[in-house]
Amino acid sequence: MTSFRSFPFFVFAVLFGALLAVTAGLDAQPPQAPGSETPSVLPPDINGAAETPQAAPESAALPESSRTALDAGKPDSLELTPEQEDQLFQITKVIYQVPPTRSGGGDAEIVEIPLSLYEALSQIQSGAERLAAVESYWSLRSKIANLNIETHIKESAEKASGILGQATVDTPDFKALMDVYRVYLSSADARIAQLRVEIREGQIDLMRKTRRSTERGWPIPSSTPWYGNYSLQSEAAQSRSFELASESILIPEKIRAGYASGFSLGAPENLFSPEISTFERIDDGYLYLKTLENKRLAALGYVRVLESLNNSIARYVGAYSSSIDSRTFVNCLIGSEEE
Amino acid sequence: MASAKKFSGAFWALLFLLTSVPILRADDAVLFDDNDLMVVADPQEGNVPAAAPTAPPADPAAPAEQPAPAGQPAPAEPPEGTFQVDLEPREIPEVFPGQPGPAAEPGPETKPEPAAAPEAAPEAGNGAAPGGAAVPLDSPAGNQPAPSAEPNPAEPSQETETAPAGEEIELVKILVSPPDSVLEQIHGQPTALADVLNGVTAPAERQRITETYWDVAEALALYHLSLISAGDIEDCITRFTQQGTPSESQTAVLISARRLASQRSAEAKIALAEAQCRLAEIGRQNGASNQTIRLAIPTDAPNTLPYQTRFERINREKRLSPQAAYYAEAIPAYYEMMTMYNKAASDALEAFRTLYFTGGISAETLLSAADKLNDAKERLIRSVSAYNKMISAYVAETVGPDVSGQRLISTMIRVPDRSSIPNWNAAQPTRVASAVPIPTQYSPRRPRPVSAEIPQFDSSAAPNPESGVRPDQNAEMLR
Repeated sequence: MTSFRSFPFFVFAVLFGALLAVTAGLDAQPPQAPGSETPSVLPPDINGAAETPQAAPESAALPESSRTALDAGKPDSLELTPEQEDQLFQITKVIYQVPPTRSGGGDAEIVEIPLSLYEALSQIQSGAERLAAVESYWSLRSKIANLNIETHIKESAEKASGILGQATVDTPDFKALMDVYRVYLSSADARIAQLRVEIREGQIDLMRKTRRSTERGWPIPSSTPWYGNYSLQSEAAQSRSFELASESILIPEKIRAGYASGFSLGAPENLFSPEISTFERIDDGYLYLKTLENKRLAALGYVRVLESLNNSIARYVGAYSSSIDSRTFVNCLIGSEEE
Repeated sequence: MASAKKFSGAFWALLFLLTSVPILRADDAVLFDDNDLMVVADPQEGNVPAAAPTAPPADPAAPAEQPAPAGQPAPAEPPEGTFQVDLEPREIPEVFPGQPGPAAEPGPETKPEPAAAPEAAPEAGNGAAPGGAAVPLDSPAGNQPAPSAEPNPAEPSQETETAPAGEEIELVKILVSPPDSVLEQIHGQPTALADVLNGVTAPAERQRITETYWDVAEALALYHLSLISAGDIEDCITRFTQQGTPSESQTAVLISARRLASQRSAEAKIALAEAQCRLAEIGRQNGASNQTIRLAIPTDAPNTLPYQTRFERINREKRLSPQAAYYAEAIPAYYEMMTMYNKAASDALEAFRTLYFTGGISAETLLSAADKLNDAKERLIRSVSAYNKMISAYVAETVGPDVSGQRLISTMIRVPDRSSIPNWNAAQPTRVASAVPIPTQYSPRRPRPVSAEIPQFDSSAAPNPESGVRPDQNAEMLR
């Protein structure tokens, strides 16, 4: 890659590098809920959870992931230390923030209402229908999380592109870099547009499977999927059916995969912003984008794993007992605090 | 010229030494924190004795635990109406039976180096003459052993259209011969295709089972590939840390690549477990022991040689369906697709190796090459799986239910030389000491799946219908 070697450019690079550092410092704050004026749909206790930590100074060592402790202690353990639990909680919270989801197309104002898992299942008693509704719920929840990821990633790319665009450099290499950013942003726009369509389709599917109408608005799943350890309880029960037995194999595997995927995202405050503070060379522009893309793919992977885990849990609970009421069923899936 | 060659040789040797020995430096510790440096090899890792602590003890009852044929009850059945998970890992032969011996094993523990360039592979592969290559039976009755049948001159000939043998060998190893360090992390027992087809006579069901078997093989290969790719990323990290202090941008992108590789491995492992459960479910539906979930680790290699459909000949004896005609047409196309992906993967590997040893390249360039290599290998694996599924569909149309056992298998894949199959109870093969950095997942220190963490079935414990399952006690802490 070509470097910027000329002195004038170097001076400029340092200047807007400093600008980027300031911006990145601001960005390093954990993403807030989409507009503080927008009522959050996250569970109350999560909203009231710990204040978002301050961003680490740029010069500090890269944030530790809990994998260190995992590997040093119990590599395959399903138990997490309190620090690991807190980190995974923070990561999941950021990933599953609900961004503005109103889709374009038409002037009609679409009202979207938070819908907890319990509310979604409250009108369903049949086991098969309940399972289908749960899968639809988590599918929609994943799409919304993906929209959140794509939106943040695009914002980071836009910011970097804006800073780079201020450079008064007119070399072919630099133009090529800017073209790459333009393509990346266009692709991000397309993915976001596609997700908005998929979310709307998912909402229709969820309403159909939960026997709801659009009178009160379009549902936005507000429950967070389960991401921690899960007790399968009675081992004897697992011997009752093949499905119980097979899910009892898969669930621990998926929990481990969830841990590995979650911790692979790094520190919560840097989920969507590369730890790069300055652009001194053209190469840095490419590296920033590559880092951003890696973060995007890893975050999407985490969402996929959690969706798979939660569907497995739902199948397990459904096979465990077909006669439990909706509240107990939901408690078995994601705990009792979700209403 | 001679001095230049000498200098070049010394350069490669020096570079190889540098890249083969993990050196933890103060700079590394700053740039890659403990979490990210966990791949730095423990000096003891390369000295794992043959009888490693993780090696399962010799099991006197092992013969009884050999993969039980589907449709036959397992030797020790739990009480009627209960399920049991049989998850004990078993030793897997390091090299697919019938293949050349366990030479230098490619994979994540092998660093890309010029000495292992693809040119060396064909020589090894030439020893794997396609004498036992799969061909369909000439008639559904199958009066003659398939391998010895005279090939129809009008149809593709293995001798003239054999895929580059070296590529096949590498592919086969990726597909069915992951090293111990990989197998230790997955559940299941070594299972041949004949085992899962045993007792099943309906062609359609055979096809379904065979396709699912290849699904498992594909998932295993993709999991193995994910670990290999993670090893490639580690090589890239080693490459840049040994060149000097990586820049902030390089550090960020390398760490993000490592983390993405870790995430992909985790996801690939889930896909493998799900495929294994699907195969187990089909086995149960076909009368396998309904008291045990037997997860399979495929040991049969998929066919990667040209397939002689002998469609005209078979069609003369028995009018085949239009679907069979379609398969006969499609199989060569699938083979060609597979060879193209094979070439693409070889090219991507060569490009990665070249870039790896090219000075002054960007981390982004090298990582992109690693990505392309991973992508090419993944497509290759999927194409091999698709090719073999197409063959199984054709066999379902042309081979009748009276053909079974190894004769049936020989219509789909090369029948392994049974005499060369290692004894499952043989001593654990000695691992090749590796001094190169390896991803954490490969660490021999990492214990195999702990059985205590796997749900155990205890028929004596009566289920309590009052207590529904609920999230662990950690719920409150996590929320």
